[in-house]
Amino acid sequence: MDSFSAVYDRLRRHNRGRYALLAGCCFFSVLLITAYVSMMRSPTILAVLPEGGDSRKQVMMIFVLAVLGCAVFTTYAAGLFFRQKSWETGIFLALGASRRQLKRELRKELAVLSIGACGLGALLGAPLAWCLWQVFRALVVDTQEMGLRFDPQAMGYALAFAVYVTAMLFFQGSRSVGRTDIMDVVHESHKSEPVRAVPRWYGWLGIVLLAAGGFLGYIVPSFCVQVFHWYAPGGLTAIFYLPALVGLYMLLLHTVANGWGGRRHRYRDIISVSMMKFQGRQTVRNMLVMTVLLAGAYFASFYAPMLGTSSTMSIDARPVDYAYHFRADQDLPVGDEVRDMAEDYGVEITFYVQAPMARLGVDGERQVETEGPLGTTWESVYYKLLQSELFLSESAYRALTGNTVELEPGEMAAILDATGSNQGVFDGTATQVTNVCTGESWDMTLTESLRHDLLFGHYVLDDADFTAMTAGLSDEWREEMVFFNVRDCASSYEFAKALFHRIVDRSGPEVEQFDSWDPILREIERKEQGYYFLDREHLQESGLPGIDYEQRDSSEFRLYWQYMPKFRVLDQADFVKTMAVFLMLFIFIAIVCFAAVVVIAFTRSLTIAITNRPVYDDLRRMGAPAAYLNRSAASQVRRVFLVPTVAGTSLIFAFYTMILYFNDNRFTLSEVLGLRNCLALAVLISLGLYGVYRLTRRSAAKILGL
Amino acid sequence: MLTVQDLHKSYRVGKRTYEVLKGVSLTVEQGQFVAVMGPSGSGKTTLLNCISCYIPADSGSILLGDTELARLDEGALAQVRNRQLGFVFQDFLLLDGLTVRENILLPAILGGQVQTQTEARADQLCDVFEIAAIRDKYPAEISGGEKQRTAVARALINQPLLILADEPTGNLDSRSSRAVIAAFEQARDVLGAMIFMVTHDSFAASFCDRVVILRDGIVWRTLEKDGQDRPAFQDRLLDAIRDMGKE
Repeated sequence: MDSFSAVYDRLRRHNRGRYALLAGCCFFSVLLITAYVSMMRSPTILAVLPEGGDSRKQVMMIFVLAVLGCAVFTTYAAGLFFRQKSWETGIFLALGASRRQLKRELRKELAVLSIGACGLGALLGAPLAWCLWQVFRALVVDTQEMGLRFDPQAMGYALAFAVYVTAMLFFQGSRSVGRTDIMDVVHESHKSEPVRAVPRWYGWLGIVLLAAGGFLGYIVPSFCVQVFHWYAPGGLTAIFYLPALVGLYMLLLHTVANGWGGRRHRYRDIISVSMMKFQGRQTVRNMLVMTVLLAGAYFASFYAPMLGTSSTMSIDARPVDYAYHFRADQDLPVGDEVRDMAEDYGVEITFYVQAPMARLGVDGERQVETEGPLGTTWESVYYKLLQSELFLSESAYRALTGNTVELEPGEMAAILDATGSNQGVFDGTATQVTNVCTGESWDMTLTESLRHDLLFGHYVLDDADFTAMTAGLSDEWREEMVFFNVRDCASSYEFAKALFHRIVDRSGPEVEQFDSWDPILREIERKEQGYYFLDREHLQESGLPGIDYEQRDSSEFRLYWQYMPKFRVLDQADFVKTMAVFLMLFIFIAIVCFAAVVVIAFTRSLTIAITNRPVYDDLRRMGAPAAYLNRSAASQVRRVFLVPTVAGTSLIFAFYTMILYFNDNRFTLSEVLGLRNCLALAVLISLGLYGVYRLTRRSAAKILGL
Repeated sequence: MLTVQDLHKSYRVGKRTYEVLKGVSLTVEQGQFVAVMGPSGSGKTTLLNCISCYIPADSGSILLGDTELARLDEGALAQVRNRQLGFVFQDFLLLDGLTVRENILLPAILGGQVQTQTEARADQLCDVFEIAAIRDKYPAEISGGEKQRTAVARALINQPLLILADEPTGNLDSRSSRAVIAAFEQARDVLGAMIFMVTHDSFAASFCDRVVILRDGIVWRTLEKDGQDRPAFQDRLLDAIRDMGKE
């Protein structure tokens, strides 16, 4: 060994564990981000998640959390690496090595390490995502649109993160060699990082800030829209979440430095508490990252139980087994044809009703948006003829629902859902109705709203008014609504499927439209903007899922076709298939985030064990019993796991509950039951984390020779 | 010759500034073995670190021969440290991943001057310091005394002009301490090296030609051995320390 490179090489081999830890952290972070972004930007996913929709925003929000978490995690891992390495760096400098000489060697090994670890992570990210997806397809659900395709541009995000990791490594490496005080460099590795005296009020202030930040961050965007008529840019409103992050940091700091248990076991826990305290900032930062990632993971994993509960409940609560509507100019199966089909499938129809509806124009206010340097602003403009709605006569309503409604001429009633909610999409406040074929208009008075899940969003008119207002309407403005029940709904799946296919087969291209496509709004938009974004040819460029009869079993079609029938047995049986991409995407995200939490907790716990090994040797020499040492070690590992788990789980429950409440300023039964199911899931996941904790505790004890 | 002239150094902790060296001046002649003593906080280690240029001084000058160390650029300073200075630290500063022999050779490796005679010299130093039997062992496998003798051998491998030692006997038993002092004496006598040793230990200091006593960042007293025998010189040192306690 006669060269500095050889010395460096020898030391690298001696400290291979340290290098492996750093390389592992970089590899894991880049792998995770690449897998996530590959999935997030996959055309398969983008085709199903509407642009600007909540699901896409949620996926992006968790991605931002994952990127921040991984960035902090790798920065911490690099900091730890260079702190440990500073011992040899300082000795080299003290013995006369030049900084240039050291930087040259350091750059060489960092280049290999970062290119190797980050490159491998970036390379394996997409295959990992693909493999996980295939496992879902094989074990959970497989549909035609679940064929996973990747967008090569997604690699841009992954590469950007890999570049950050590499640049951060080089920056920290260069800084570790460049310090002027050589003795500081030598002793850097032995320095503990005490958390400065933390006042006890940090804990409570942290909780207050956390709550305030969570509330403000969530409420400010809606406040801006409603009060200032301003769609503030996401980056700007996200600032209001910052107090929550600061509060969380203060809360964790207080928990690590002071604890919440008072001074009851002050002397019993003195070793573990003081050790933890002097791991200082790094521990708190790690806990912060874990808490944020756990919150993201839970947010993603709550998607399935919440959606499942609300969908199951709403499907179960439908007043009839089968419901569908169609335009009068369409030749769809009705009456005897449906009965004959049912007979062919051995299904007995016990109740059948068909009633006419009409599409009439209504007045209303529309948000006219203006793009500005600070985002989009809007103003409300009244249109005498804004859009169309479906109207029923009193008698049709009675025939369909069995309920009587008494309306005077000139009155009309809006139909809300069964819980009395407008679901944020139907304001039911029209005051003028227009027959678009004759151009005749009527001023109307709204009476008390009605409630019905399957007729949600429609209006009911007095019989005489209905006749007068719909006179002269062509068939394309008239519709039929069909409700029927069968004797054994659960065993009528094949019939339901066949009827659905027949309805689709017989529907013409003129009704192959997106859910909220509206013929009157279309004319307004075409006049004002030259095109209508919900026309089939513009759906893709508007970032919306396409509607295609050929893809009738796809999530896009079943969720967004305007005339999608509501057959209870079909929706129950195909729920997982219809929502497959959504469900699997969020499960994927949850798995990735939980995996990150587990890796960070495991790494941190083992690092604490490695750092404190000499202290445990001393304690053993001083005669500390094995039980005491075991308890002390377990206490530290427990804190790494327990604090973020409790904080992250509580945080997300509080946040989720707040979101559900502010949706419509109340809790519905399905929301309460959904939360109960989420709680059950959280208990299961916590048990899994407990298993990892036990495993980590055993590994830490092994390192400490306990 | 090492000449330190009016050296000042202060540290800033938070908003407070602590002046540790308040104008220290001293010289070490070629072939002289000089100790610096003083109570904790008197500035001994800071003085040593400034002379080594491990930490920058605020003002004053440090001349090694004709070279003003503070004026050297980074590369030249590294070269001086490597070729003209040898270091012995209280906690040895050995690299765990290298054997005893490789640790001894490290300054030569860093300077890119490992030749057959350098290796022979490392073996010779192992013999002199009675660590030949453990030369292929790693630091974790040897005793504190052996580690310090390894550190002294490392300090001598490049035949430096000046050896700087910070509490070299602080962690050692009396036998190992004696061996380390003997090694310094040998370096002085055979190589004509200057030795500048910071110590708390009056026994170790009594082997020196001169002892500089620091108090509160200034040179409080300088005691010359002047051919006196070692026990008598140690008594003088202890008297001086007692006097300092009385003031």
